[in-house]
Amino acid sequence: MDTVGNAFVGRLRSVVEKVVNGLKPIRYLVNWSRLYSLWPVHLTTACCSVEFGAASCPRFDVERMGMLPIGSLRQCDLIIIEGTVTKKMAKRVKKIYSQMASPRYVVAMGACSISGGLFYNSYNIIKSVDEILPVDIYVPGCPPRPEALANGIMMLQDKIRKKQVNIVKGE
Amino acid sequence: MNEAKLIDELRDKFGESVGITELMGQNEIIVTVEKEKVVEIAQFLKDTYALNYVISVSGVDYPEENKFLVVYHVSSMSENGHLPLVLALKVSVDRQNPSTPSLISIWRSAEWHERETWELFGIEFNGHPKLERLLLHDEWEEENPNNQFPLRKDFLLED
Repeated sequence: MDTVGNAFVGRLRSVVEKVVNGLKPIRYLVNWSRLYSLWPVHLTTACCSVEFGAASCPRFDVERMGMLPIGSLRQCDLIIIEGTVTKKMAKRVKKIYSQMASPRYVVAMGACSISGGLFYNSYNIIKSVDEILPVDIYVPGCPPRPEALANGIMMLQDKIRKKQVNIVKGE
Repeated sequence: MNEAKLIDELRDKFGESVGITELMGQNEIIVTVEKEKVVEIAQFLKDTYALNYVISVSGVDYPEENKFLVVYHVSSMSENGHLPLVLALKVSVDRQNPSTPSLISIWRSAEWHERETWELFGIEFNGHPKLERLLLHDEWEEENPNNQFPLRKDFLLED
């Protein structure tokens, strides 16, 4: 029963993908709906989260661009790695990422999550999050200003706008 | 509270076991003691001066002098609130065979602090009920089979 179901859904998936990507207006519509509902996970690994907080608050207000921090990670499709990821935390980050809904995007924020930053030779951090997650956008800075984060979000939206639609099989 | 009086009283009672003492500013005292007497001295401080609150336990590495210092910062939580006095109780430990009596029997809250100091410096606390891994990640032993203690000065970092 499972194999039959999978085979059917699998074919359906490829058919739907073909139709959506073939017809430009539909692809545009799907991508449009995705790019203005980027909901980031509330995962605070280090001090860049302060800038993230500032960016979400009224002064900088990235909600205007369609990013709204939300409580449940099952409904999230964006993970912003806010700073240093320790080796202990790396496992949890991976776990959180795998629980998010597809399609999901990753933003590496700050020097530490890009190259290790200040702690590049420490004994208990991973040097870069792209060792464990597929990163879409890198936002450099130590820490990046809220404007830089907003710029990163807009770059991510640009990227999504140009993407082919993939209906990803859930894990 | 009179800080100078505290130091005098310690010297009277424990004599040679109390090493260098310093008065830092108004409310800070540093007392260096021998590890054989540290349990008694801690008990005395707790009973007499109501120093019942451990702020931190830390290790300091002195490779040239071939020793570690274990520093207990203690203060007081009285009924009237947090007294301003902070006392640093320093215990000198041999670097080759680092061990010192655990002070959990006097200050219960030192348990995790001592565990952390053991983990990062390799200083044994005799009488500690649970010296187990606390902060480092689970694969630590596999990744560092020889060089176990990351906060020692001779721990090799990557370039």
